[in-house]
Amino acid sequence: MVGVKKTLLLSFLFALLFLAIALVSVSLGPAPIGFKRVVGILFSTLLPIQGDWTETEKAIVLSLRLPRIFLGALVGIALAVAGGVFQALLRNPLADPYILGVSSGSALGAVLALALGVESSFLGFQGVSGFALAGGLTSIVLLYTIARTRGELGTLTTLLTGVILSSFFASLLWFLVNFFPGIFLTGAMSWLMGDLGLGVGQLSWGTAFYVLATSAFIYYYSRSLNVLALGDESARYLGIEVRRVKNLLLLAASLMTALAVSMSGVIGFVGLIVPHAVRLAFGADHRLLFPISALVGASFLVGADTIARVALAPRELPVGVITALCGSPFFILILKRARMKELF
Amino acid sequence: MKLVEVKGLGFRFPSQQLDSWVLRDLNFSLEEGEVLGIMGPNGSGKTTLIRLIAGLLKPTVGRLDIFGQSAAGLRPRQRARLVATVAQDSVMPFSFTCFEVVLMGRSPHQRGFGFDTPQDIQAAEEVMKFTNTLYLRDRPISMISGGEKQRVFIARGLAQSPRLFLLDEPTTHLDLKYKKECFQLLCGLNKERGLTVILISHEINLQAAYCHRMLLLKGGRIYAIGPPKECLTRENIEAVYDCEVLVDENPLSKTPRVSLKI
Repeated sequence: MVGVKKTLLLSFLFALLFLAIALVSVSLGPAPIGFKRVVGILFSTLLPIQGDWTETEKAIVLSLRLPRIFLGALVGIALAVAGGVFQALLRNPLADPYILGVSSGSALGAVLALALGVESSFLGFQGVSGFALAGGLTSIVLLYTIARTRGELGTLTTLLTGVILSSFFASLLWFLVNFFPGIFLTGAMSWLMGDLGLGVGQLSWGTAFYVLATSAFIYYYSRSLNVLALGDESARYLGIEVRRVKNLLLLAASLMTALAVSMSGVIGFVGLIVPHAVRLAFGADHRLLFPISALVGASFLVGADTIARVALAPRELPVGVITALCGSPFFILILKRARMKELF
Repeated sequence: MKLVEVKGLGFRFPSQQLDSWVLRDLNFSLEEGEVLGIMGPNGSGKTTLIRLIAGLLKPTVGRLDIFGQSAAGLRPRQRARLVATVAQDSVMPFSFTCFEVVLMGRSPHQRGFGFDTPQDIQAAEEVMKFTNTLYLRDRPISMISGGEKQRVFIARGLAQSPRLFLLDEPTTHLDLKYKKECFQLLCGLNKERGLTVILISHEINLQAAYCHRMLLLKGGRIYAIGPPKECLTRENIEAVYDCEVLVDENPLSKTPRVSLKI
């Protein structure tokens, strides 16, 4: 059983883990800056201390690496929490944030912007990111319009509509890619495989607010999500307003996904395996699952991005390559250790 | 005040044709403390009737009141504090523990976000003791047997502290012993706590032994309603189920015993 104490204690431990990974990440990169110096630079923003670091080193740490870690954390939180919501709502441990076609909608938006070479903004998101967000939101609107029957989003109808929208967008996307082969040079690959470098310029308190506020909104409904695991009918017998809760949470989780993709392209695996692994380790109660998933998602993505930055330095790998490369074996390992029967 | 009062009830799904009624011309009522068994062939509208009483569906015509108010008109949380329903065989996709599942029964008494209070935990433990499931406390719900699962779901319903308990075929998939235990448990609840119970079951003889009244449904209409002795006659059962039976008396319980003519 999950109580307040257990939730707070585990959240604290996983927050420490995240801080440790973030500290390692900030000191690693093509330009080697010692660990002590990095800590000194970080503290110099809060305290009046002097050190022997150069202005360049300070700029690298504070304006390149630190924003990228914040961005990685936000995207990790968004994907992991959205994954947890989709798995609970569709009552399927295989669901992920991209299952409803939000990712291909966003990616299509991004590729369209690259093809047309636009420089406009949308809801404060500049250029290609703005188009990605618009694409993701469009796909949500389409999904709701098509899948709703009598005001209700049935699990199967929603899932099928998502899959169909997804492949429709994907074919449009590949049509564009073939029509404008030049866009591969301007970064289409990063949008399709995921790259945290895409969104560093976009990072603002606004994006952080969107992600954290939506997460808090979702967390408020975690008890209802527990009850929904019993199935729609039983949840209604227990006084849950199933239709309202499902609509609100599908919308919230889709929004989070669209935000994540607009900041970093399509990063696979985080939203699928993080909630899954946390559930295996600590049980299915969403009151514990969401905070731990958010912290693990942030740690995992920042860690993977560090590897992506360092592995082939000075070249950078798309972080999506690393999440899948590290995620798959790790996932197989925990799957083997957990008894399969307990999973489903 | 009648606990359940049904007057001229008719129901059809909005998408269906105008003359395809699932339930039609239903009139009956239930006093507090009764155990009512609903019987009828597959597709006779039993589950729909349970859903109507639980307020999930709205009557197309007529009235269905529980506790003096329209069942569908009650606010969901308020209704869930009065009526608990155990639906047919629900599958849990995630490995919640049995204790967590029983605690979900407390949710109509909890508001918005929050963790379980000591009172919730005490209530859940108490109903688990009563249903003899406390030993399953930390086991994942997906890892226990069908009979244990059914008892856990009954415990979940009891954790709601309801006054009316609805069960849709609680004994399917249960073996002989568990079937009896399930009926005994429900009767114990009725006797010790005055809980009103409505249950659907195909176990004619167990229902005859344990229910105060029986309701026979045929093609969406009430064919007969009354004490088992009046209701479970050879004529009634043969007409409702369209197959030949022999009805005599169970020498132990002195209640009607129905056997198929083979």
